[in-house]
Formats: sequence, structure tokens, C-alpha cells
Amino acid sequence: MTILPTKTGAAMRGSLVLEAAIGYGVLLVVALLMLKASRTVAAAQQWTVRQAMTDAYMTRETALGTRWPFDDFKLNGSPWPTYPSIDEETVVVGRMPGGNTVTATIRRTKYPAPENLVTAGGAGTESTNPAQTEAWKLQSLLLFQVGDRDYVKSRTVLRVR
Amino acid sequence: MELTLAMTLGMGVMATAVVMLQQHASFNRLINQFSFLRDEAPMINVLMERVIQRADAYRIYASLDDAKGRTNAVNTGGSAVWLQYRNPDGSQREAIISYEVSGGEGSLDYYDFDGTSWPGAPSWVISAQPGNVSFANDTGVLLITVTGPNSEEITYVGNSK
Repeated sequence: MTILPTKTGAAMRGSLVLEAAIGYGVLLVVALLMLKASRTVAAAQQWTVRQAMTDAYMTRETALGTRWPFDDFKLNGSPWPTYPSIDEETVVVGRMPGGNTVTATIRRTKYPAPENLVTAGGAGTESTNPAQTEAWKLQSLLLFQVGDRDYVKSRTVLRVR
Repeated sequence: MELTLAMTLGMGVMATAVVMLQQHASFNRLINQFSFLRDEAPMINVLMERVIQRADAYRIYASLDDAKGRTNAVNTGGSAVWLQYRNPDGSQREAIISYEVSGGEGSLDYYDFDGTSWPGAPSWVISAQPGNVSFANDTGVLLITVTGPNSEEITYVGNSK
């Protein structure tokens, strides 16, 4: 068996500094990886929560569009003006932990069906629409941002009588 | 000289590792603050939607006792909602969903009327995590605003269809 000579004296000099420098380097790499992972998780969480809030808000729009009295949403000043008029307002869709509000912009408009009679915003006549059926599309658009990206959600309610 | 430098570097590595650990703990706390909006609130919404959408009628009250006695109905700021269901045989069934604070702990509870009296204890607990739950229908639809333990807030619609 051959016993290798151990390094002593000048050969060992500087090894502690080298090891510490390597340790620093490894720590730096680990720190950068953790930072990247943290940013990814935080961004995904923000995205999920804001999507849930805006989905909930749009459910409210659908419910309002379904329940608003037919004659009332046709009046001037209703939340859904007739296109090309568009009603726009900033709304609070929720609050983040700590109480900071999350806002979005809601745009509402409504479209008459082309078969409606002229008095109901369409181009139909008593011969093309003898039952005088009247249909309107109530459309709501919610515009919001998550990070540096813009999102738009749309809900349309069809009302017929 | 070299030993001093090596020791300084070693201490620096250790200090950096401790700071990284602290940062990781802070980040975990931050992530956990979102757990109510991310996990609990959607579950509450699913349960509430299933229970409320099957009801034929509802009414909002300021407290559980008011809901049990069917007195002092309110339009906003309610903490209990009374629900009425119609059974296939034509009979009726009643229930109450109420947010209550007991012993400093809030919970969203469901009470099922047995036909003669209301139970003293909840039939089941929907969630024990909300910091507050309020009901309103001043817009024409039933709005359920759920506030979490960190002041986070999201509003759902009880009768969206």
C-alpha cells in the first residue's frame, strides 16, 4: 500500500479563503434561485386572486342584467345605455390582505336586435315581426390589470319579451 | 492576516444564510396571508351558491335571533339570511345562514328548521375563518360580502341565475 504525502505548509496556505469564496458563490446562486421562485409564486397567486375577484364581480353583472326590469333598462340613465353610448365607471372589485382595494373599470352598453320594431331600436316591421318581439343584448366589459398585463372580461345577457 | 480574512468571510457566509432564512420565513407569511382568498373564500362561495340557489325565497336580517323570529328585516348590512324551500310534496322547509361571533371567534353557520323549532347549535358550520360576512340586496340581487382575517374582502352573488 502506498501512502500519499499530505500537503502542509505553503501548499495549504489560502485554502480557507478559497473555500469561503466558493461558499459565497453557492449562496449567491441559491439566493437568486429562491428570489426567482418567490417572484413566480407571488405573481401566480396575485393572478389567481384577482381573477377570482373579477369573476365574482362579473357574476354580479350577469345577475343585475337578468333582474333589471325590462322597461327600466331602456330608460335614459339606465346602467346600459344604447350603443354607441357606453357607460364607464371605476369600481372596487375587492380588497387584498391588508385592506388595499382592487379596482377595475366597468363599461356597459346594450344593443337592440335588428328584428326589433323601429320603436324598439331595430329595423323590423309589423310584417317581419308580427308578434312585436323585442330583444336586447346587455353587455358588460370589465377592464383590469394584473402586473403589467391588461385583461378584459365580458358578459352578455339576452333579454327578450 | 489570512486567517482573519477567512474567518471574516466565514462569518459573512453565515450571516447571509441567516438573512436568507429570515427572508424565506417572511415570504411564507406573505403567501399564507392570501390563503383565505385563494382557498377558503371560493369554497364558501360554492357552498353558499348551492344552498341559496335552491331556495324559493330569502330575506335578510340583522341577526340570527331576528331571522329566527322573522322580525326587523333589512336590505343592507345583514348578518343572517333566512331561506325558504319548497319540497316536492308542496310542503315548505326553512333554513338560516348566519354569521356569528362567539368567544371572539367568528363562524358562518347553517341552521335547519326541524318543523317545530330552530336548533340551538348550528346544524353545520360553513366556515370558521371569515372575519365578517354581510348580506345585502339593495341592488336587486343578493350580495354576500366575505371579509377575511387580514381585512381581505370579496363579494359574491347569492342568486346569480
